[in-house]
Amino acid sequence: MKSRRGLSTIVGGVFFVIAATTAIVYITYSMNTVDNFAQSIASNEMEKSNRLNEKFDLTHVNIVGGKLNVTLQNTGNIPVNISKLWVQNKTNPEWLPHKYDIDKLVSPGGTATNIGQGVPLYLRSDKAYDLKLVTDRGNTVEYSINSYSSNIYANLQATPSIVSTDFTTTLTLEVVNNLASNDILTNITPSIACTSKLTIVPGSWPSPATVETLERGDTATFRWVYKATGEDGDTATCTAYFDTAQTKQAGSPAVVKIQDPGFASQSETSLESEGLVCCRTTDDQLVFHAETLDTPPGANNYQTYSGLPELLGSVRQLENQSPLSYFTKNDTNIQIDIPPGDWKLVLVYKSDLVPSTITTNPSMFYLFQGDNSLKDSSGNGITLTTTSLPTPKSAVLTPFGIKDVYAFDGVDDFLQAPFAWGKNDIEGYPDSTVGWFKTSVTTGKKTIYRVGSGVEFYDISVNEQSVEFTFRPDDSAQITKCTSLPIYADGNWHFFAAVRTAATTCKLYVDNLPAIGPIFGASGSGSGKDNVEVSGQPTYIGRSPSSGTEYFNGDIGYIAHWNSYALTGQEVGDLYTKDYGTGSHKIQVKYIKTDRTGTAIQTLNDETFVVPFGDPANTLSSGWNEYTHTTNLFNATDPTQSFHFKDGQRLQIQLTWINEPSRLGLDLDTDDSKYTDFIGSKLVIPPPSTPFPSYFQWSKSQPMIFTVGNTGPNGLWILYSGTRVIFEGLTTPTSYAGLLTNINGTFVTPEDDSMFLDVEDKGVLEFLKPRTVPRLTTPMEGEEIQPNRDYRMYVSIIGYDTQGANVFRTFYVGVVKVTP
Amino acid sequence: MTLAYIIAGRIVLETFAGRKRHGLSTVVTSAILLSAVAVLGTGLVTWSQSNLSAHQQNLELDFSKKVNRLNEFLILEHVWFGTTPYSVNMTITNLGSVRSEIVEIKFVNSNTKQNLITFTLNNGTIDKSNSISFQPNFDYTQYQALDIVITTGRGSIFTSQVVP
Repeated sequence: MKSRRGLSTIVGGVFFVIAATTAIVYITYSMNTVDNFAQSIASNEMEKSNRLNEKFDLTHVNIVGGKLNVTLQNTGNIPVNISKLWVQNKTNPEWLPHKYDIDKLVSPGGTATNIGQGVPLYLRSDKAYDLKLVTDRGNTVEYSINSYSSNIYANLQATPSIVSTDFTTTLTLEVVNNLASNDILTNITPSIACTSKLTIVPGSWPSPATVETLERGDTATFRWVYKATGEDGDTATCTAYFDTAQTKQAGSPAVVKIQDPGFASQSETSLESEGLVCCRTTDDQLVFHAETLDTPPGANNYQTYSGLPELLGSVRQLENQSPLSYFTKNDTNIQIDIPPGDWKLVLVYKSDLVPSTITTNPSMFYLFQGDNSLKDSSGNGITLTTTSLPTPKSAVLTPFGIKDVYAFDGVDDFLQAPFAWGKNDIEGYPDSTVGWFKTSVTTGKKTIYRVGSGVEFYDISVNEQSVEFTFRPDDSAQITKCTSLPIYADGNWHFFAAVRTAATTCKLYVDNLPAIGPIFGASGSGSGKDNVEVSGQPTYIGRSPSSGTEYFNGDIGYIAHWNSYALTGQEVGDLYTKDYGTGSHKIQVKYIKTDRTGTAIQTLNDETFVVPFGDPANTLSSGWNEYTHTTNLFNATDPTQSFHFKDGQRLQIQLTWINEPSRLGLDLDTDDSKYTDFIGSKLVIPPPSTPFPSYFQWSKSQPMIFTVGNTGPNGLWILYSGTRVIFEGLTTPTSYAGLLTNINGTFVTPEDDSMFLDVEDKGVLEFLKPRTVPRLTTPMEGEEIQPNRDYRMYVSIIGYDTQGANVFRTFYVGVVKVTP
Repeated sequence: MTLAYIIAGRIVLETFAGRKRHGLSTVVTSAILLSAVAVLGTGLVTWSQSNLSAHQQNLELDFSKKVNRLNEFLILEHVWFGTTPYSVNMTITNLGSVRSEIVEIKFVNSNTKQNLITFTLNNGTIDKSNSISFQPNFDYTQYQALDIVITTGRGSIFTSQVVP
């Protein structure tokens, strides 16, 4: 029995093993199958997700050397591999599409350049092409080059369309990518042709010259300014083209009618105000502004960004505000790359006439510099004249740095300054006169500086190796005389300082040494006994008017005169050491990359250089001088040699005035909107990949308000039509415009102009929220401006003034960040 | 069990004979039982194996079909329109991880969803990462959007919209 039980157990066990094995195998298989299926689904989903997350934009398309040159940026968070390029010639339908393998991998956030340069495809700039880039995940971007058809919406408008002769009109071309497909229009470089009654204003647009890419639904706007030159009743027709060869017309022509104004004649000022479109900065110009908001804490920290100056000038005294720093805004959410190249520091400045220890400026100051050689640098406008001009000498080596001096021939050369009360009348004391001279051959008395041809006079001369300072305050008085020892030598430069300290006392310094020669004099009597009465008589440099002789024989460097100030010995010493030439100032400049708080991360450049004397007599603009210091910079540790700014990093421009005995102080002119042809102190960097953010910011939840001031000379009205706020997309080609809704709280409509804005009135302009399709009434169309992006902001204002002159102004506000 | 008889000699014989029969029947019974169990067990095992195998094959086939279908991905890489004669030129690329066979291409009016024309393909096989071109003559209408519907042998459908 035992053996049978064992057998049956074995048989049962065998069957159990078979059944269990079968079940386990089946279950395992099923689990594997389900696992494989799940993995397949997961893998497929991941692939789909990657496909959806693949994002890239064309940033630049053109033809270089006959070959396509595409720049593409991966804006997604996964790598993109551009695998193929399809090209179709739209001009020649017989030309079948070509496919080229590209195989270019672009990492997230990276940029691929020169796509198309390596394929054997030659394109002609006069032909139209449709192109398509395909990724290896199957995503595509299509775009067109020169592929414009009559189906593309284009609208050319003249504003104003009726214009007086010699006035300007602005032609605005709007191009909308309304293609049914997803094609991106690229490289739109329109041109315009007008009949002979209109001529383009020199230096005018098109602005922008080219729009690189225009996506479907986006609008590009181009402007030109033309001047009307016809007769009353003439018309001029302007036709816009998509191409510079003017073969593909864009929209309908615009007609401009020339019509004399019904009002009185146009004044010159209104002519000036009309048609002047304010210059705009470019991304590479970091203008020095006067505002300090949002800059790092510090006494001398100011804003810099690519926006026009807004004030009438804000002066920084570098010797007192040193170090002076300009910071870009800490809002660099898009990486900014500055390629290698020249960094140009442009300083608009005036040199201090005297060391800061001297509290009173001279009343006449002649530096004899270049084109300003006869001008008075003191600002009092006492210009020299002569009948026999001394010979200008350039590139002269002088101890006071000046390269331009006058050589007096000792025969008949002289200069004279007209009499000016309070400036050179000498009459009351004190007086001071300083200057540099170099005699050729001294025999007898030779006059350097003299006022008075009669008994009363004020005279500084050289006489047999001595300097003599003489004056007589009254005809009854003795001559007061300071004479130096015979200490100067012909052929050498010497400095003199003559000071009339009181009615009959004097001090004389030669080469910073007090004259130790005889000093004597005595007062006269009666009324005016202390006054050198030379009323109406000019001041002479280089001769004595009393004798018509005593012509100076040699060189004179500069002459300065204080009419009511006595220089001290210390001040004379300070003057003696100063450089009035090429080394008047020494400045240390540092370009620093900082974090968002202004803490230095990396010093990009640190150098010290000298700046020449900036003569206030310069007529460039209110006596301001311009000096540019150029440094070629590159980032040696970067493969592209570029400097990169990201994550709120700032660029700090730090200027430090170096205090040395020979250096003068200087005033820096910043944020000065007076200039029309240049924009004052700034740093010009190599064109960055994207502009530094400006300090302007607008929350789209707030009204869009822009304030203008009417500076005259005439009152004006602002028109609804054509007055717009415009936001030009920086990172995308999409741009937006907002219509004017009210001025100073009063609604402005197509039927109602603004209220009258008198001279010095301010107009607070409120605009509707910018959209791609600006519209006054609902339903709104197009897309509202997208927040969290940077835009270039313009305000275009059209109106007319009290003299019938058209007023057209475009203000470039700068790069503005739009927030929600 | 033991039986008692009067004659001793028989008693012994009978006792012996009774014992032999009893043992045989037990063996036979056991053999029969074992055989029956073996036959039935083997049959059951064979039946279950066969059944499971069939089920496994079905599952495998179904799985394979579904996974392959899942892994199919075709894109209409480029489409252009010819004019002489009116034709649609398309390049289809297989971006999936399996070979696909296109069996049908349909053109449908995007607005009305009306089927305009259907093309049946006999040689529409595309290996993975490869492309094929297809240029049927088709009298399209300019600016009239078309849905191009591609059907594979596994039943996958890929649709793309184009505008002539």
